Amino acid sequence: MKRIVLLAVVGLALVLSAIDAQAADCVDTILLGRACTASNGVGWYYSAEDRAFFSTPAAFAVSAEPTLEYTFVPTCQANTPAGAGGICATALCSTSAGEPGVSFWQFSRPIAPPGSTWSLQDTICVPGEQRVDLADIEAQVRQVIEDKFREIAEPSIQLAPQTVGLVNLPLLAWTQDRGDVRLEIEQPIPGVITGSPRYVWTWSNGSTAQGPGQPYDPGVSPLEDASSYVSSVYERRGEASVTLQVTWRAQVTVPGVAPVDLEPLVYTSTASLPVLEARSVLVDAAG
Amino acid sequence: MAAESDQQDSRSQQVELAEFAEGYVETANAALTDSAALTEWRGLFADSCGVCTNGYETAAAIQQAGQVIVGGELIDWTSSIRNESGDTGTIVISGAIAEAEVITTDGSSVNRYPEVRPVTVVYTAQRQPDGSWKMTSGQLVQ
Repeated sequence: MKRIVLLAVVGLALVLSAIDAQAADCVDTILLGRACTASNGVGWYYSAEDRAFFSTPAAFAVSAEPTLEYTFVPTCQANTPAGAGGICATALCSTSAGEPGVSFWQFSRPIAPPGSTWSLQDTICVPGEQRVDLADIEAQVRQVIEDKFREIAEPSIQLAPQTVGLVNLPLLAWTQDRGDVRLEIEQPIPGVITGSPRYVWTWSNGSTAQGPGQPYDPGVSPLEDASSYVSSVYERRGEASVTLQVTWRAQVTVPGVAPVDLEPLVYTSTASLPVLEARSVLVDAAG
Repeated sequence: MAAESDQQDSRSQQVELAEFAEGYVETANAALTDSAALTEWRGLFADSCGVCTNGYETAAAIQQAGQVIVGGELIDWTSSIRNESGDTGTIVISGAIAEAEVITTDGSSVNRYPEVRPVTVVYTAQRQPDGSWKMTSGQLVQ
């Protein structure tokens, strides 16, 4: 299985150098003169039916005649033989062998005189060369997070009070808000993974809350402004526990392809503490 | 029997194309420093092969200016043949282009070209009426 390569990690808000697989690159050499890579139709596309990305071939057979030149562009409305653009959903097709592919318009024109008008010659369905299943990307993302980002895979829970709760007084819970996460990948497919967390808390007494919560702020009373906190009040002594479920809604964005949803990543943690009953005790102030 | 014969023809054409690809690269490399090879190189591609024409004209202009090319060859290269049918074949040549320097006859440096690695060019070759092959198109893909 191919490994996703993380280019770098800076905290959890990752903004790294962009990878643009579709940009045309040019090289200056004597042997080739100034030569640029093709960008017409070379790239990735996504087949929702297959839950997989496919690459279009860099080149394919051309029944060339010495007097004609050819160009191929994906069958997208915005594309013309003079200015080939990207791949669109309407250009997806199935080959005669039933493989997913990209439909190309084949244009030809005479080599001489230069600048002759292109004419549409054929429409062909070209199978993708490389297949990358979304499931592989999901599995690799999960593996990387569990190996490298334990704080995401095992979300921490902070409680206040820390060790013992009291009956009829609020217990507070919070976790570090990771915010949106952005990871750039170059294998098995160049792209960007983005993820947004959703926090759901479930207390053992049945109460629930959402959001990361926050530590106790002396200026905000949990009794008067309970909505500022993730909190719960236990009316009897015993064991109080709270489960945090963090659901990461993630997408992969590949150059030239609309973002594709990945299966949400769900991580949970639980914390508990005893809840005791406070009793008033008369004290002789005089000692 | 007919299918067997077709397979043999296809293998034979693959061998021909592989030999043509090898000869093309050797000639182009030699053409950087040898005017006779430069002339020979021009006979191996059609006007329609832009990447071939660009390279040829760049090398020719340098030599016509009385300058000398040091380096710049395609090195560590491999070729593969695919999609051949009838009198047409696709040749994929991968390798690197060595660092090059253009110098005057007194040794002054005129221009430098850094090494480019990796390089992959997809050529289309077409059999000519005389049975030889010519590159009719070339596209840098990497």
